[in-house]
Amino acid sequence: MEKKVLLSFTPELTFRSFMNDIINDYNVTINIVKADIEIAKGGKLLVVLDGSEEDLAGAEKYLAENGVKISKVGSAVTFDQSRCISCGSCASACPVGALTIAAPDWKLQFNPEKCIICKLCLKSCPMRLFSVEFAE
Amino acid sequence: MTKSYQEINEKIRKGTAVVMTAEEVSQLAESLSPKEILKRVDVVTTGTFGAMCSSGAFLNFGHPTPAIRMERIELNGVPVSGGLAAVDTYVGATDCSTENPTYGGSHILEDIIAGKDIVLEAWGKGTDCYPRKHVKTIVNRDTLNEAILCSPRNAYQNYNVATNTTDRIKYTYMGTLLPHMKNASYSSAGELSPLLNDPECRTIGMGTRIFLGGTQGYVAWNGTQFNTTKPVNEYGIPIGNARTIATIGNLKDMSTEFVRGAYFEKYGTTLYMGVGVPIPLLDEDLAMRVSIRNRQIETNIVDYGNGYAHLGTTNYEALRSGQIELNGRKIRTAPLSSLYKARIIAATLKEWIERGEFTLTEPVRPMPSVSSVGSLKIVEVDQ
Repeated sequence: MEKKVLLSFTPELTFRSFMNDIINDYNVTINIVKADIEIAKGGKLLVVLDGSEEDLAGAEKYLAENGVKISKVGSAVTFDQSRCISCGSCASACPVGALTIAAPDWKLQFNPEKCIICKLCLKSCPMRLFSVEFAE
Repeated sequence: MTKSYQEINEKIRKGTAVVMTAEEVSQLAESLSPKEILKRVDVVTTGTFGAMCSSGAFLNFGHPTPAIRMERIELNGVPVSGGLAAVDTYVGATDCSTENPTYGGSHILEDIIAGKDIVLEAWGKGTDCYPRKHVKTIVNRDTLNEAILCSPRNAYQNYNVATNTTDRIKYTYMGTLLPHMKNASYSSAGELSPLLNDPECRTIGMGTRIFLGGTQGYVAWNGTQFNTTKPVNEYGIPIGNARTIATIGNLKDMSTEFVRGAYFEKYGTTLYMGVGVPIPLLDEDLAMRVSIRNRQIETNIVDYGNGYAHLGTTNYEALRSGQIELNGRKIRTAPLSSLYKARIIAATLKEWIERGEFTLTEPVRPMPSVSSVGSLKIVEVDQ
């Protein structure tokens, strides 16, 4: 199963190899969606963890016990639906199919589960209706 | 069997005209011949809601006391034309300021329709008859004497499909094009598109009454870059961008539902404009034309990352499926113009005609039967 979480690291935690540990010890694969972190300064990683339920639970327990803060992430991308014209420009740019537009009604659909917060929709919307927060 | 404009208008006035949208009639054409369609249907309505960069409006501000000959004009900080007499200007959709490139002429047009206050600042050199040199004030829809939408090129007949073969994202007027042909965008409303339902403009010419931005407007002339020389497929459809219309109407009566300011990343501002044209079914030929299906409308796939290189052709049925094939490779597709809104436009125009509020006009001047588009020649200039 896949799970999208936001990991927060204090400065001292940036000297450790947590990602390596959970890959090797818990058989969990990691897709880093967004990294806003610097060695000795701390920061955040938005990641999609993939593994069995048991392995994911183990990995999360390991991270938590070592001081990594784990926050659940819904989609942090939102758009002003009342002004959306359903043109499709954002759906064209969306590389993961979170934003789609198709038959029968050709109205824009947004599936936050699939969103990787790449922000291409922010640039692609001709009405500038999208916003994103690095939310927890 | 043929029908005249007069006969159809008589039916519209009596409330007995049969009106269908281009999608509805195309559906009907799966089982009925053009002859039968001509018998059953009087008018077919079309619609499109897409980015039309060559749009704009004439405004008249009224004269202040003392008077000014406005030679440099800004609206909300956006420089607009100072090339018209005293207190007229033309706001083009792509007018923009260098400081804030995401807000431009198209947004001013939308703000006027919305009734918002707009800051007008203008400068003149001061003349004997226009002594004032500077003015700064507020204008809005109600204070403007006139606001006339007058666009030189709208509602392109067919348009390219855009993709990008390079290894970098390209930000274009065809939207965000991902590297390595990871997407392709298209802009025409296909079988609902106005000029694809009367591809030779037999019923569309100067004076044709149309749906324009939510109100009744008119075709003013053939649009710029009007091109009759594009190759035509077996269904009579020009492959690629061909004919266009110039449009005119009262901006003050329009709706922000159908006129929207827009900005394309790293390109600039443009106007999303709603246009719908009614096609009277005068004869079997027109009945056949409006019956066209998306699969019969073909267009070119063009590489916007690499000098508009021609990559292949496809059709609107494939484009609408969400995936096209090019040399054995599948490319994801998505539109740039709103089919959702285009359908509302065609349905609204249908309603207007059914209610007898909108009658059809015969063009007072036909479109050119032969017209081609030249390119700009670069020549040596001495001075």
